[in-house]
Amino acid sequence: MGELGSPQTVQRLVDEHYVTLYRYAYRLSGSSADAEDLTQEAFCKAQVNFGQLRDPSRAKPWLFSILRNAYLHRVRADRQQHCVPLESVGDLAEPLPEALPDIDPERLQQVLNELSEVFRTPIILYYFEDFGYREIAEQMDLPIGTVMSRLARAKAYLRTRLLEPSAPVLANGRAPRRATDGL
Amino acid sequence: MDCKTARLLLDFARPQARELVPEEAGALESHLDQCLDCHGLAQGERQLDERLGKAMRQIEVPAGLRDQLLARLEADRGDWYRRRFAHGMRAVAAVAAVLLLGWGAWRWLIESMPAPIDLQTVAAAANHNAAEDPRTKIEESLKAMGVETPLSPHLNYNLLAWPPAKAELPGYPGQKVPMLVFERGGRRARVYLVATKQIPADGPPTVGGATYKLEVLPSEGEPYTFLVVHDGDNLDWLRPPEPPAT
Repeated sequence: MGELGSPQTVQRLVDEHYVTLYRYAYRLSGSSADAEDLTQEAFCKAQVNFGQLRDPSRAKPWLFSILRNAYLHRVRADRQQHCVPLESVGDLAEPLPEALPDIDPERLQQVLNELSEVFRTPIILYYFEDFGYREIAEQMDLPIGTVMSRLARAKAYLRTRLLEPSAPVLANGRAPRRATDGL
Repeated sequence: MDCKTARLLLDFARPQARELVPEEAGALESHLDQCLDCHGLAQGERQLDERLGKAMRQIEVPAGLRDQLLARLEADRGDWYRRRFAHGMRAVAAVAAVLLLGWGAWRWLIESMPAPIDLQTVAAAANHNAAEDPRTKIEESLKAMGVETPLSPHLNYNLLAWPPAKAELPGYPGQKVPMLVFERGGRRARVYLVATKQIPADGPPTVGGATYKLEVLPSEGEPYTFLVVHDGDNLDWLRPPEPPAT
């Protein structure tokens, strides 16, 4: 059994991070119900394993990591996920139009849902908070080069899907074929 | 810095990434100031990053989520203490079971292992028994059978072959009386202790037979009479030794 955090410490942890954690969970799972469940699960696990947090300044990545593991646990249980493959998507920057429109958050979520978790997590972490390549690599336990490559491809995919009005949005994240996770 | 390098470094120069060392960041900014193409590209990328970041964070957090979380954590805390208590109790029970088993095994081992025999003790006890007057033990044994009487002085109790025991009086099935068995050099005598009042006062002291003879030892005024059944001609061998002449 782990070490239980004191009520005051846990409450402070909730106050400081619950909004961020919920949003991260929402972007990962794509549903508010799942996001609430994941957030609760992450804080509950954090409470009973509080002894694992050696450095309080690392609370945020620690909580993100707990939440992602909880999410992955669910995703593995649900093998019916359909995602698009990104092998054919280029990762070099192409010129963009001068004035970019605002991006609709709902549409962004639809496009995120089309990505497999290995692409979705780094792109969320990258844009969501102050996570740099190195932190994402630590969070996902990946080499930094892999993180950069996945980020570039995921970003290129988002750009294509979000900024090209003619690009069709796939309903419910369904894609022509299953995603391959590794690159 | 050329355009190719600058475009590769653009990914590292995003505000959130902070991956470039100051020298590289400075060189990139100088290039962007001079190169219109790269400048436009960088501006577009930064604009896209800004739009994506903004949209990414634009999520409404449900009202009451904080209170809901704190309530769930409080409930979980109670569960944790209950689980911890149960865990502790299980551990204590396990330790107790192990100790009990260990103690049981130790007891079994101690009891199943015969104690070592000290030969000196055996020899000393045997000598002590030999030196002891056997009549004391015989009297104690008879007392345990409910018979309190002085032993007949006409018998050598050192020749007693077996501890006193109850046996059926020959000719009287079911009537058990104390019996002493004496042996010496292939001769054997059984002595039955019978209540004196059961013996006819005018009876003969010796009754003969084909194999065995019965002798009634004198027992004036005593509650029990000693009846000796033997297979010899006489009872001389069973008499106590004469005390040495002083």
